[in-house]
Amino acid sequence: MTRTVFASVIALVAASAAHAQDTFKFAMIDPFSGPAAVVTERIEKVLRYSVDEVNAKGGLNGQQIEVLTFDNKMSPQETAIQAQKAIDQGARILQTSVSSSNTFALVDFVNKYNRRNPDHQVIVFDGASHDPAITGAKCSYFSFSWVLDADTKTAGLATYLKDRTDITKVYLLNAEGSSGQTTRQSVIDKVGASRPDIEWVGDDTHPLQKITDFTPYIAKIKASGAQAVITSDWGADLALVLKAAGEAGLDAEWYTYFSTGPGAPTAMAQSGLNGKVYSVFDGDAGIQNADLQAHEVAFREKTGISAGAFPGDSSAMRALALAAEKAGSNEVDALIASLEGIEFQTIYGAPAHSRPENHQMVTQMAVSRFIDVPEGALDEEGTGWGWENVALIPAEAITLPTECKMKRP
Amino acid sequence: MSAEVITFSLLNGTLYGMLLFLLASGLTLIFSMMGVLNFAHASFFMLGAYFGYEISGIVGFFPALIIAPVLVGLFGALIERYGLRRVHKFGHLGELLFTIGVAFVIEEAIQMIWGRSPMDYQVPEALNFTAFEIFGTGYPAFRLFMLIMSVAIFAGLALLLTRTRVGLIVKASLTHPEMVSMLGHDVPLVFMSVFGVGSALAGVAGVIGGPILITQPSMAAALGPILFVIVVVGGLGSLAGAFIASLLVGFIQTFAVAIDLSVADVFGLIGVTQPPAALGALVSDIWNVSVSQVGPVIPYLLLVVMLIFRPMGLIGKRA
Repeated sequence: MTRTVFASVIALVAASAAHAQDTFKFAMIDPFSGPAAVVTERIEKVLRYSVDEVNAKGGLNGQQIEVLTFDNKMSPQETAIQAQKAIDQGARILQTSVSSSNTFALVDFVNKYNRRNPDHQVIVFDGASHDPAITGAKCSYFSFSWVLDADTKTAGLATYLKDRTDITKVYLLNAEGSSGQTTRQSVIDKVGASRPDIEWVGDDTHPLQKITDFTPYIAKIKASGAQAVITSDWGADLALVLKAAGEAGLDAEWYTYFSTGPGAPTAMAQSGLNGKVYSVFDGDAGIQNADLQAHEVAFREKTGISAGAFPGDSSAMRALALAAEKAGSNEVDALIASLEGIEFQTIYGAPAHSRPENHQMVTQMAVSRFIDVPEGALDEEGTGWGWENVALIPAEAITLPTECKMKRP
Repeated sequence: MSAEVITFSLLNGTLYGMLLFLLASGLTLIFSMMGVLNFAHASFFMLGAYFGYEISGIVGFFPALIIAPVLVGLFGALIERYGLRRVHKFGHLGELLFTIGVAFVIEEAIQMIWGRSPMDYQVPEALNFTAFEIFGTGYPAFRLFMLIMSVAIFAGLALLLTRTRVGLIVKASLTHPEMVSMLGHDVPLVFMSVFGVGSALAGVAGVIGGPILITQPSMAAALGPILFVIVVVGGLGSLAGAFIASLLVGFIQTFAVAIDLSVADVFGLIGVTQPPAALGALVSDIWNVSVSQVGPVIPYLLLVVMLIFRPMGLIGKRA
């Protein structure tokens, strides 16, 4: 009996594998339910748009890409379970983006899977999770990251602040937990090195996504005399702290890592902090570039949201299409070999490449501020406010030495 | 602590505490009058915020401040009439599970109708100015408006329950339902009205809280836990207790942020600068954690301590 069931399972798997030959399957494994689903929803739109672009040009060596979605319920354990399901359905590339703990779980799972199934290996794409360890201490030969990581962005911020000698008093505000605390340390190290004259007038750590009233923090920042606040806060924390700052009339500049994310532009426009909130990010709609403007307009028309907030999949699909062409094959070994060091152009019109030594994408970084834009200009979330680019930091300035010791098969 | 910090903390604590009371008042009303711990209360608050956003876009903020809570109240009354009343006979556990279910349904429904992204719900023009300034920090008029509304609701509810016939009947319905119905009052209708009014109060809080917080599907989950802290610490079913507990939680959270003292600082005073190795990793972990860092979780600690030493809460009658 058991043997019959086993045999029929094998037959089923074989049948689905045969079916998988039709399209190149790309699995997106992210939280499609719960509070983080708002992020997944946007990343999915960018992914599907970018996939459509590649498919319209003939796909990967003539093979169309098909997107499969899997709900990991924001849990690392569930990510591994869904990854197995995705592979069973024939996925060749597995992507997760929303949380770095899920990315670590997926990379770990795929490392093991590929070791056990050398004839049927798969690739991991990391679409947006920012943790430097993904292409650092925990890097993998099978995994590629398509956004600048937090350390890189901090290096960019340090480069930018080098010229802002008017800022000497800085306040640090970060959430507890690994993401907030590693960013905090990295800011102290990197900005401290580029601007030794900066005085840290405050350094606060607060619980993650639990605070509903940030006015006491604003009072503290005000009392410290800070000219600028550097924060790695995101989501509701960032929105509430900026609204509180606007209400109290706090006259400090804000340097943020995640102010392009869903909801943040709405809160920033409500706060009335005109030109006071800066974003350090891969790019945004404020960069003056004809291709980018055309891309944003077309993307917004189709999806109703801006493309700039989640550039990971735009970059990933451009790189993948070029790599497949270069390899002349859609086999995983050949794809990995040609993805290493692949050179392409981001939607921001900047050259980018995937570093062969750690599979991290390297490109320029933008420092932009959020302003009340003129009528007709590209705004964010229908607020009438949008990004104005103040500096582009070249890739060379933010390419850091890597901790990655990659094990190659 | 300087006079400046104390003034700020007192003011901010009062304003935040009043926002919490606005939310907790309906919850404690329903509990004290019906004995139902309504887990969906924060969801009614969220409904109020979304209704307020939609309606204020059509007829303006102040009409919305009346219409939205009425709609939420009617919705609450329907939930009581066709849901809660049916599960009532299965006891408190049934009611509790039912309201938890309602909370999930409301959250999913809101995501289906309005989507997952936050709404652009703004402070109305008429109240969008700085009311006064202290030490160079502005206080927005809208927060003062919220404070006034909160105090008015507290006073109104307290008067209604203790000084009017309506209050008398409502209270009697809880303790002596058969006697009240023999005197010719419709007891189930009384319960439905109480639940409706409690939900409407959550709706009021939603309309006012929406622009201050962020109107998004996760707003209910973010506020739910702290509401239960207030209701339990204040004393389950006590309006005055909830009022005091709201202020208490507001003050604790704001003052805690202002205090940068850590374990290391305290021991530094007596000349101990390194955690004693003999005490192990746990002590060295908390050695540098400052009060401001743990501020937002202190109310939950208070909840635990309260349940151990005084389970009936500050002024509560029920244990």
